[in-house]
Amino acid sequence: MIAFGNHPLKIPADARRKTKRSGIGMRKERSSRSAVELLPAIRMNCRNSWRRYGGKYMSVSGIHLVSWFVCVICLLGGLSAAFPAVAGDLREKPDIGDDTMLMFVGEDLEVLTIASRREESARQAPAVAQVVTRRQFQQAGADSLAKVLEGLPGFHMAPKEWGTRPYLRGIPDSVLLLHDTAPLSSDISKSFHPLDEDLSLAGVKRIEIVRGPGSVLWGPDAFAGIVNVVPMTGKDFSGIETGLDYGEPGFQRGGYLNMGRDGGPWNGFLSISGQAGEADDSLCRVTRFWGDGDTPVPPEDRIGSDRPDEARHVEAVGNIAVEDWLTLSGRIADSRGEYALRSEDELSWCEGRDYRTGMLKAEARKTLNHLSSLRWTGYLSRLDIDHQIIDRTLTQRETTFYTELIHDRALWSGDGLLTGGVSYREKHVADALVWEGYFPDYLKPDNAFLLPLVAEVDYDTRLMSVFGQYNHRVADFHLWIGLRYDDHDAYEDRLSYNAGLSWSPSNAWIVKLIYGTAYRTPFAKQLRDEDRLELEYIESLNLQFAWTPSERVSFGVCGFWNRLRDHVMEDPYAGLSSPNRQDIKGLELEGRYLPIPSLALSANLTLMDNSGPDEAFRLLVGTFVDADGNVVKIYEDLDNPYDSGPLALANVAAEWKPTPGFVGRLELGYTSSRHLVFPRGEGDAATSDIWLLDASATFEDLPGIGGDVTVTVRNALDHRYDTPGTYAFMEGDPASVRIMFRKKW
Amino acid sequence: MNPPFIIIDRVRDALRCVAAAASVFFAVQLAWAIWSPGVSGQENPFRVAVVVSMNIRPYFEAMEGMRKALGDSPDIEIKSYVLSDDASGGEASLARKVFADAPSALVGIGPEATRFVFNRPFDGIRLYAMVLHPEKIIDPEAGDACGISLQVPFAAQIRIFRQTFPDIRRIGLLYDPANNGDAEAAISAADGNGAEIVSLPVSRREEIAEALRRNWAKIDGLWLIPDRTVITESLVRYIVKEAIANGVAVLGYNRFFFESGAAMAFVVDYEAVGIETARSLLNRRAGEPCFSMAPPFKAWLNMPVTEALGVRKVHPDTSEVEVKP
Repeated sequence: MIAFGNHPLKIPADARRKTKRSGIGMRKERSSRSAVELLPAIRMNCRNSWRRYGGKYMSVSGIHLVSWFVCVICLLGGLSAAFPAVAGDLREKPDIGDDTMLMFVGEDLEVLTIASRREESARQAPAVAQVVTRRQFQQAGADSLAKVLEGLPGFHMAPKEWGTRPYLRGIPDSVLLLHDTAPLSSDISKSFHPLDEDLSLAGVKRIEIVRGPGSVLWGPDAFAGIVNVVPMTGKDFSGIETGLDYGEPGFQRGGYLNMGRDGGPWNGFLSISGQAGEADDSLCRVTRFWGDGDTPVPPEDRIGSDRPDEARHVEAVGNIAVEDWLTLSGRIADSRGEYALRSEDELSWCEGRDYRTGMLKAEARKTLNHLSSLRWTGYLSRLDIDHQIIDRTLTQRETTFYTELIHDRALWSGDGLLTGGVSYREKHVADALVWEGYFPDYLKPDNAFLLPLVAEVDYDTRLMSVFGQYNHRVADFHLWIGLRYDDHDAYEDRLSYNAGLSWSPSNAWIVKLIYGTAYRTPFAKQLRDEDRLELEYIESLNLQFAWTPSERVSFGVCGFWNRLRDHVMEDPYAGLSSPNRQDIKGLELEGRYLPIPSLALSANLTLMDNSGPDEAFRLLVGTFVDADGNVVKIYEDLDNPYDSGPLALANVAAEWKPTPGFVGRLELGYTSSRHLVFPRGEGDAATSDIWLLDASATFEDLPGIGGDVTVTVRNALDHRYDTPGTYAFMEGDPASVRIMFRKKW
Repeated sequence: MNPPFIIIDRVRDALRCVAAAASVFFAVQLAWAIWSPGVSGQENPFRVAVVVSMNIRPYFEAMEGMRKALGDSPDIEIKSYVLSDDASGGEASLARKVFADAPSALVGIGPEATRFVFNRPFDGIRLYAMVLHPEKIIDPEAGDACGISLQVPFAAQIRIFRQTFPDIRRIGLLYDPANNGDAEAAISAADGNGAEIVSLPVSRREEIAEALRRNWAKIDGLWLIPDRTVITESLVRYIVKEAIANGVAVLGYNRFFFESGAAMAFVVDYEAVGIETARSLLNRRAGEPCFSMAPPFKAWLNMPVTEALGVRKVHPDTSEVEVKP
């Protein structure tokens, strides 16, 4: 019998799938015989192993690609023929010599691009949409995307040892995070969310948020919502801006440099930022483990004393645009964070993640006439993740190529707008880690011989899509309907759709009824293990009412009903759950009131409830070889409740602007208690309600200095609380203070 | 099953049906439009074609104002067309679309749309809205040019400013002579209101700091008017900050100036511009003469800034001024 505790040594039965075994010492082994040597050393590229899913063959992808683009060309050609305007003559824009846009200088034009793939006001957008401007998040003292989102309805930013795990409307890891419309998330790990210092807000113009599924226009993973970080351009900022910040505890320090130039026919922008500081001062007791790669370090030699190194983040974002037709942009970032993990057995060890990411994007736009335009977007991105676990580092890589072509056309004398497009995406994932067993068990003193089982998986996925959305305005009503067909080579094809209706009889109020669907790409482990994947799927119904009777009062309420199907949860102990269903319904309320012009009071409240069966895990607790040489696996069934995060969230804020040069802000955040299940099923526990008070003050144009200073205090009352970590509870962030100085030159 | 979800299921099924029906409807409509582009709808409605320059909030608000004001007229049919900001030569095609419905009136919201509306032959009613300088866009031979501009009259600006701040007599005017013919109009408007305009001409942005530095002692107020050399977001912040540091009150023209620390700013109500445009349209339809009018506006008085400056102010007895504490 080969079994250790209740962590299994799994023998893959399906030799068709080839996985690089990184058993002992993470070697990409080709041989075998030892505790894990019974595992056949199989190595095969999943590119080949996934040729057959749903009766399709990937080898035809190239043909598909060509066929699709031929179709697009034909489609556009047909449109040109059908609509003479498309083929109309294209002349240079005449200079009409008017300075009307100067009248709107500095005004918030409140546009977003992610609801319809074109600029429109958030209020009119066919989605539950919101925009947070640069000025708003700077005055709130928000120095990370997580800090911006945690104050919005529906969002919960759960602190973890390695960063922040986002929940939106009761669904973890469900937000499609975009930077300049290019995804930042990864197929390697659903826990990769650059929400903290690893995504700088120094060069960000605004943040666009859509709550609700968006697969029709954004494809897979626009599951419960979309967040798009929009960088500044040379048109938004001309000159040089610098910023320095300092914070405690942890000697946090950072700085940035923004440079923008509007040169008439061209404009460019570059932002360089850096951040360093101690992120975690916990003690790591297990300091050596991986040994020689065949057996771990003897238990008596593993214990020592160490602390995580400083975190550091460096990022550069830039773009250059020629007229309005061509934009080149890019982002490179190197982010390293170390942290301590602790198990329920009080074992602690250090881990670290080093993300190196690069993205190069090109956009071209051609206005064919007043009624139609063509937009092409293409980007290439690369993500390398070095995952350091005690004294061993594992590297995973993901390369993505994406291209899309979108055609807009106004119909019915401008009352209708048709947006149609095709896209192609190709992802290459190398060495994605698939863990077996429960890692903390291997660290225990009674394990002298075994190393954790980690498979390193290579796979490629290709996705071709055709999509369209039609908007039509009739009197005070706005209707829209959208459809998307995704042709996957690695898993089943998907049809996503949405429909909605908004009614705005006056500028004061608007009602939106929205229905939409979305799905998610599978976990790497699913791709490796499952013969036939059922993709996680969501249907969502939203009813929103927004009322703004005057500049001083606004109120909004949005009810939502999310229906999850075939969703899968990941547990560090029990692995992936069986596909399950959940229904989540909730209510989001928000309001703003200015009792006097210099004081703005705002509040939001999110209430949720979920229903559905518990998540069923099939846990492999042991594997042995019987007398006949057959491998026998022993499973145990575990049922855990669905992890919806806190079911009640609230924020109350007061913003005071007594003079033009000062903004003071107090914000009280509430997170309800969470019912938790220990992964081993040894009982359950609940966290307490959490109340956190944040305060910030911004002094603009300081006399004699000529810059802005923002002082932010988080958890001002130094409330001590526990929050769920990866393997055990962890302490929440204590009181902290940060000072930011910005100056424009 | 939870009763709400039964309802949701039914709503969802209904929506699916609606979506399917709408798809068929729009497909048929699309096909019909391709084959019969000239099909017309109601009999003899008063058709108004509103052409909007681009998708930005101020234009949307003006459009909303128009819809609101015309909503009580059942015989008026409004159709809107949104131009992109880089609208190019495909105007002929758009014109075919616009005129295919034989509109009785054309309204341009924004400069590009105004140019589209006025620079082609049309026998019906034509109006512009949300344009700073309509006279620079509209063909002088178009004799019916009327509408609501975005230009708050200089005489009104200086009158209200002087009434509110009677001690501020020497007012600097920062502008680039190459850009702005408005400066002369502003100077002449000031003459009639007892103000002395101190011209601060600059030809490049780099000259602004020096021009101000040399003249802070010579002025009590600083007037900022739309000028593409002088006005950018960062420059406005810089100029207002420097002005306050030198004890000079700034007169600006939108809420951004106010928020940046201008002592007074003239804020145009964009929705009211749409409403006024609709009223002008109805008047024209009733056979009344055509006027070019200034936009509805309020002068926001920035109390904290004026108190910080220590400047004497008189609360004008007029609804044009709103005191903002």
